[in-house]
Amino acid sequence: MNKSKEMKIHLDQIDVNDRSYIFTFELPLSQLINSIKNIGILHSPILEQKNNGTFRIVSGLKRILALRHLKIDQISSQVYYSTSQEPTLELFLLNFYENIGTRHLNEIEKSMVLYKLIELFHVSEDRVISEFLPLLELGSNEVVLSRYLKLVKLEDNIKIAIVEDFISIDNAVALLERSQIERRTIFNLFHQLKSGKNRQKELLRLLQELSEINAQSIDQILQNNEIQDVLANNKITLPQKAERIKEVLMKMRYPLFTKIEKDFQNLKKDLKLPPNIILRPPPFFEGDKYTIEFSFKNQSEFKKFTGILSSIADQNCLAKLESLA
Amino acid sequence: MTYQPYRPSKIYIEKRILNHPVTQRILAKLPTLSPIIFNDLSKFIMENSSIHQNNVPNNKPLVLAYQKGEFLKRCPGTQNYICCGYQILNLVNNCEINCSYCILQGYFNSPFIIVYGNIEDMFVELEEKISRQPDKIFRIGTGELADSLSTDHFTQYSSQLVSFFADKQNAIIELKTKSTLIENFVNLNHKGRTVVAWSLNTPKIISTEESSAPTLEERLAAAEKCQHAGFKLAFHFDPMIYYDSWEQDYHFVVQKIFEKIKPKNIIWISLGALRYPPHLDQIIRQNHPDSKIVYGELFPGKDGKLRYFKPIRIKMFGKMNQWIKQLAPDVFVYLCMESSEVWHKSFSWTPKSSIGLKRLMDKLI
Repeated sequence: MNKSKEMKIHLDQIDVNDRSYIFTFELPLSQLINSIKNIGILHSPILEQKNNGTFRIVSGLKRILALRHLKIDQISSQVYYSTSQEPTLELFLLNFYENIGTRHLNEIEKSMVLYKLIELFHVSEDRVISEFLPLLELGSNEVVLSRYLKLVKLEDNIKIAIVEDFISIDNAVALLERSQIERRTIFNLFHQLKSGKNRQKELLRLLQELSEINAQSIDQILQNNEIQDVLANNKITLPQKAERIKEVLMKMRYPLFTKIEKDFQNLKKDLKLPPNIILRPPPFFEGDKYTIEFSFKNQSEFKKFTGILSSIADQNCLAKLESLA
Repeated sequence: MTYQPYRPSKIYIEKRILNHPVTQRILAKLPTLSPIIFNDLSKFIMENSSIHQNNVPNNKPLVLAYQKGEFLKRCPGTQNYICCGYQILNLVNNCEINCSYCILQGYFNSPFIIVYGNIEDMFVELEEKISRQPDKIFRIGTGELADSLSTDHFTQYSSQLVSFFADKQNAIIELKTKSTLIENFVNLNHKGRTVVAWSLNTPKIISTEESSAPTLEERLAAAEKCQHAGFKLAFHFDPMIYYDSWEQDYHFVVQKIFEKIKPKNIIWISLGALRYPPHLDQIIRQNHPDSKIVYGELFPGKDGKLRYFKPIRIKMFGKMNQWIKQLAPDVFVYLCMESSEVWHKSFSWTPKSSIGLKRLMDKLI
């Protein structure tokens, strides 16, 4: 690596659009601006002088942006001189090691690091997997690398949602299988429902599968009247809305199963069992054995419940269970 | 597309089997391939699987190996469902036909077609096991972990199997296939101890999910040739796939069978609906992105495998049985890996247990 020199650089000479070495995501500047106002810059940014005389930021993007905001026009910097016009792996790694030594990189920053190592600095995938994935505290294998490389392609609002832990990496990667318009639609739905990651996963899978089965876009599926009614209903909570939308999608995805399940619920209703007596079908109606379960406090309650069970033994609706599925 | 029989891109040979006559016979049939020798099968597979992962299925590398274990094993069937007591002869592992639903995609974590060459050991083992229990009926098949005939154009195993079983009183061999490669055995004296079976599906499913396999017409034409040669025939509708026009399409296939095949020449017809272990779901989606089979109403069964919702299976089996019985009232139709309840609701009778089904099928031999 070339030797560096400490020197004062005019901010206008710094090319803030050349972010070859930068992988910082999220730029909350307000706290940094306050800090600079009070105590100034503690660590000088690192710059690289390009052939055309301007400077490329190696590290310190946020500090430079904060200074511009404060209308300060010069900064003392550590400057490296480049012999080529292209950014170098050495200086990228300088920024990388400085960052991982001082803070935790978020998932999008990790994806940016991996993407730049491979695409910009042409580091082999094998080296990235064995050397850099462990440094980023990620599993050292191709699958992990492939997942993280995909994240770079996401829109900024979804990247922010990953950083804020609103959406999981798996769900975000699954969103990438849809068009940009559909990604926006699905993401807006998640936001509107404020749904958790597991619920998002369920809804996403149902929407994707229905789209394949019916050759419909996600927008077309969500235009379903029942779904629109649920979304417009202001009398129910957001988790209730999410649950009801899932039910509507399940009905579309598994029409026969949901019909039989509904028939079972109706039969159960007709039996008028008290809440202490629970009637359960076999899992997914696969077997032919139903289960009755009840809890009791004492002998008299036991007699009461067994009496109820005896009284329903001859009812027609109980016989109907046999032919339900 | 016309059926193209398997053409391996490479041939690997376990050193122990290199000078075996079977190896020499196979090499003579594949003269353009230069054999690569290795010492140990499991080590070879572990070290070489990843480099062949992207091979075209019909050109999967061929591995000739030595079978150290037993050739004959009980079909594992599946837990909590009725199975037929079949026995599997493990001569070839894996298949190149690349059907979307194939369980072997998740079963063998290897891109190779493995052919075991020490067939003389297999015959010794079979002779010993079959003769040791003269009162037991052995229904044996080679079509569980491979297609029985799709490698036969160079292994020629079918002719040895047909000849071996011709003299067995208490055993039959079932050659289960989608291929049309019958030339090696069709003219042999089989004495009624070989069942030639075709796995069938509707033309739509053949074109979308079994696209490298022969067409329905080609399979039935091969079956017709075997019929003329006096072989017992069987047909397996497994897996049946549920889709919009399934009724019309499966009914068509049943009619097509009996246009060419006389009911008296059919020993059995089996029905099984699409089912697979949950981990195969992702493999199917990945290997066959255009396939729609994973979008059925599939739920975990009592064995943990994903299966069509029970009323769907009952409807499919009931209709198929009805169509078959209309044209061939005496042909034995059975369900593969189903519950007594599904048997009863589909056929109005049930063998009640795996032992019950085995007894019924043994009587057909």
